[in-house]
Amino acid sequence: MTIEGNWIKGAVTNDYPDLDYTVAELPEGPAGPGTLLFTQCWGIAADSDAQAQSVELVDYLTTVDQQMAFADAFGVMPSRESAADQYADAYPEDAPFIAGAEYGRGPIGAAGMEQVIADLNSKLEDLGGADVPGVMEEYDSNAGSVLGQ
Amino acid sequence: MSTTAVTGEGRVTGSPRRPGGSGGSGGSGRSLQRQTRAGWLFVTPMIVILSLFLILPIAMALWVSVSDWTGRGSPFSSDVGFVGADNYTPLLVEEGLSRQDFMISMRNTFYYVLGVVPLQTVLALTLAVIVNQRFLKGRTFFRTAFYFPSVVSSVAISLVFLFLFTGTGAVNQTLGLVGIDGPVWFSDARGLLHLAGDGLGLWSLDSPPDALTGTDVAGLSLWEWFAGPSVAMSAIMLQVIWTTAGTFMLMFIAALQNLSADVEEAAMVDGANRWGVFRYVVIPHLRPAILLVLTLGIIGTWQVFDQMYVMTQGGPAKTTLTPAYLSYQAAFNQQQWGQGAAIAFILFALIFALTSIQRYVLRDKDESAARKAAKRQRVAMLNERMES
Repeated sequence: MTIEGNWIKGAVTNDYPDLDYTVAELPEGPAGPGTLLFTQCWGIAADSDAQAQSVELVDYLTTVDQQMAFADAFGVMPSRESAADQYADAYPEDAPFIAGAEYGRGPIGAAGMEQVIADLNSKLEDLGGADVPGVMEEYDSNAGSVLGQ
Repeated sequence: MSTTAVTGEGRVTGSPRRPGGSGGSGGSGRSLQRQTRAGWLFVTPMIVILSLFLILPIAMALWVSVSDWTGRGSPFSSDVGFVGADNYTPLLVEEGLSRQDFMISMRNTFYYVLGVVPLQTVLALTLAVIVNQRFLKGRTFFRTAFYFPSVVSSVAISLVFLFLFTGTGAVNQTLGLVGIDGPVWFSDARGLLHLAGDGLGLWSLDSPPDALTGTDVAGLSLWEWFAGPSVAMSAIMLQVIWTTAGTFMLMFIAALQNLSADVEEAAMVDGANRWGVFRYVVIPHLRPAILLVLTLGIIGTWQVFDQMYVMTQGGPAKTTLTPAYLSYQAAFNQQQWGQGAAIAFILFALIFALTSIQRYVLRDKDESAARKAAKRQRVAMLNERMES
């Protein structure tokens, strides 16, 4: 078992074409279902001379048709809810990923959070010997102090 | 002739007297003025280059470290405000992640310097003495071989060491031959002092003593402060010692070649054995070189960056985080340019202080005593003259 996003599909078809696998949603925890959702972003430079055109370009790239073209090309799931049905129809085996979009949460992208998450990651490296409640408490207080600012 | 007289002589030849200076070339005031002008003319290119590429960037970084510059546009534009010590306080005073990371990086680098500087100096000196033997065959080959790592890019060496120190790499295979089960070097965050204490039965790694874990100093528990370099850090230390010993060997060779053979022979005639010659003739003669190597070593090791950037990115569990790498990370990854610059300046202050202390501790006591005595004599003479 591995916890992955649907970008893994491309790697599997490329490197392990004979692998037989199915996709399932994560089992529900005590606080209800949960999963991680995130998206790669388009950035537009604030000092750009062609800002309006850039916005137009990004608008075009995020239309349903274009999002489906990305999905076909890279195997990632579209970033628009309105494309969900079309995607589920085209790739029924990936329906659990789309289902996760209902309740999934994105990462906290606030300024300063990167350091907090890096700290959590560095402590998880030592998960076998780590004092897990202590690590969670520290993460909580670090995140709180960043977000409280 | 006693040995002390020999060292005295050696020192005089080591530091040649300054040439006559202005004696005889002074001439009339006009030619002196012309000379001054010509002098300024000749140093102008260097002054321009230094101010453009050294003084100006340092001044800019100093300004960034006390500003709220976000990395967009010029740091001197009017939108950038002065924030005083706001970039410094999270690193030194305020409780939080920034201070924790900074203190971890300080701890890591402290152990790193403590391990690398003495070992690389001793190794360089040993290699230099061996290679300097007059009757050694293939001296040139050995000199080149030992110096070679210093010429190779540290990135290339780091990559080679990554392979050497993997779980099934050459190092662990060799250890396996003698029955030692080597660690997975670059993912082992356990501290050497922790492991040593565990081995000696002072404490257990799984349940560290409360007295150490309970006491916090500057955001880190005493237990963490006394961790020692991690296994991953030790692998990097081995690499750096191996790489830099060649460079410093060259400095020692240069100094050794300055020591003429008859001085050593004279000491031998006086009845000194080989160790005596080394201890009482060669080492005192090498004092300036040792001072130089230690100073360069301390400055270089506190700034260690390449190895961390290429090999570990501060991991495992932040045990190879160093101030230089942290500064880079803060500025270029987290866009906290002010804090990145602040770390760099704290590091600068620290290196400056440590180097001054080290120079003071290792100063030539005979020389400074002689200088003091001469000063006292001058003062006494002056007093006498004033009284008479």
